[in-house]
Amino acid sequence: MTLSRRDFLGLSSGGLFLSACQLTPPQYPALKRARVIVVGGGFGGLNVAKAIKRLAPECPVTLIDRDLSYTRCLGSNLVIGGFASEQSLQQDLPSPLAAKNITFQVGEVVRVSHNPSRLHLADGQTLPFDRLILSPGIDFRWDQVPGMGESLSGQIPHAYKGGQAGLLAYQIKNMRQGGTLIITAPQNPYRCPPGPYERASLVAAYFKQHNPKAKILILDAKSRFSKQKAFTAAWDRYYPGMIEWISYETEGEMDHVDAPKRTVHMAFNRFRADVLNVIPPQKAGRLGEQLGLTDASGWCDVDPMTFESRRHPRIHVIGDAATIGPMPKSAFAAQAQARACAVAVIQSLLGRPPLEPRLINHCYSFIDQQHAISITGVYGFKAGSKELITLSQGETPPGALGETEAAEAQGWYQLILEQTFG
Amino acid sequence: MRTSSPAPIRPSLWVLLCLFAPAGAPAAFGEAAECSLILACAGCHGDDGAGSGPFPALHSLKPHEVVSTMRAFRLGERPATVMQRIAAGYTDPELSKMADCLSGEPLE
Repeated sequence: MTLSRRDFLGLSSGGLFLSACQLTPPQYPALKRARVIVVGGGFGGLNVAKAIKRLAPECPVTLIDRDLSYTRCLGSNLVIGGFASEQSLQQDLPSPLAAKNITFQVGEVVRVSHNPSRLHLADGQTLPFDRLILSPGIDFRWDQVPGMGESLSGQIPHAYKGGQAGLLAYQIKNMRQGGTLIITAPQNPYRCPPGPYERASLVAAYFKQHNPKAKILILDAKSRFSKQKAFTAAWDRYYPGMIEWISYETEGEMDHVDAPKRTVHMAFNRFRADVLNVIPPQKAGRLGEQLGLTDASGWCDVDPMTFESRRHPRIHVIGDAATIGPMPKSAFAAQAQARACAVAVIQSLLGRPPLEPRLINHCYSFIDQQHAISITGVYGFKAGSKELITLSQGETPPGALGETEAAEAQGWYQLILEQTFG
Repeated sequence: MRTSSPAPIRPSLWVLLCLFAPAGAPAAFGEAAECSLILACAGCHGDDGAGSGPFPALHSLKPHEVVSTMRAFRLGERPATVMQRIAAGYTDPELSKMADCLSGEPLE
């Protein structure tokens, strides 16, 4: 921020900008009286609320979540591999938000009404809004996993949202010597595409120390997966013979799960586990469907330039729940979308046209504590188009097994936690 | 990105550029719009572009350093873990605009 730049833009003239030396930005009445509500206390929700406050401190922002704390999925594979405590995934919501002057409210959203726009909570409260931003995360398609269901996930954890990482870690720790962990990996799209494979890697790191004859079998609904070459090279090098990946092409679709016997019946064969981790196919978090924002895919259909729903104006959806062009579903992506959404919301409140965001996703996976691999994409709009496309992408080559990247991964992990929950 | 450098963000600056351009100054507004190019860089380089852990600070870079470093990443002339993938997502004119936004000074 320099005087020359502001003069260059003419911002210090016209009275809108007070003085180059004054750090307080001008107060916009339209922002001061705006009613912005964010629902969801995860990476998308917290970051969009904070970004709006950072850009427009005078804009009142309320964040609503069902709970006083958020259990993050990011970092849960470290817990499952025994590298971090289950408690470390719990993030307190009220105090960091209060520090940023964001109103926090515990509440269960029931519905939205239009003209005028109102958010209705289960306790009968009705909250008027100008802009509503949802970041409801994911839900599971249990109907696509015959034999399984939410109630059985207390014995056969998914550990892919909420507080199940500790349960899966416990089962892995208590697995018999030489036993088999089976992970079922879902069809695209789903939260954290490399997640199941990072999980296999970190559990293998644990087994190498504590259960060296154990096996990990990944039954995949896909015929290829994120960072596949680098993962495969790392498994050959660090965990030879321990992890077996079984492609959709080999075993076909899952037929059903026999939960009492911890057995997965695939199209051709059945596989019995000592510890079974079924990661179900996914869709947008319940709120997306409940408010009528999802399309036939089960995900929220939004304009990738503004994240505004194509079904309901003034409602924006970010993070895992939304289809944002070719962007994968990750905490990094949710945070990038949150910043861009904050700009889109402020622009709209000021009656200005949207700014084209340039979005980045960058996602690390740990192989063990000393090694990590990554995948990166840059996303933007074709000139004159409203379609978000991949402008560049790349991943860790299989030959480079990521000693440097482990330090970067740790650095990034600390940073996003600080930015989001700090 | 120990071996690396740039990519962007300086929200205080950015606030000025993007949000508080007077409505009656379309040229300024046009300039401001270009600064949304640097938003996502905060994911690694921090909200104020001051860097964090292994990720270098960006706000001290001169515009020509931003452009030359990003071009070197893109061309594979500068070793990097990640930045070559990111640099490939921006054209030369975009890099100039990003450098301009980042440094707070127009690129000479």
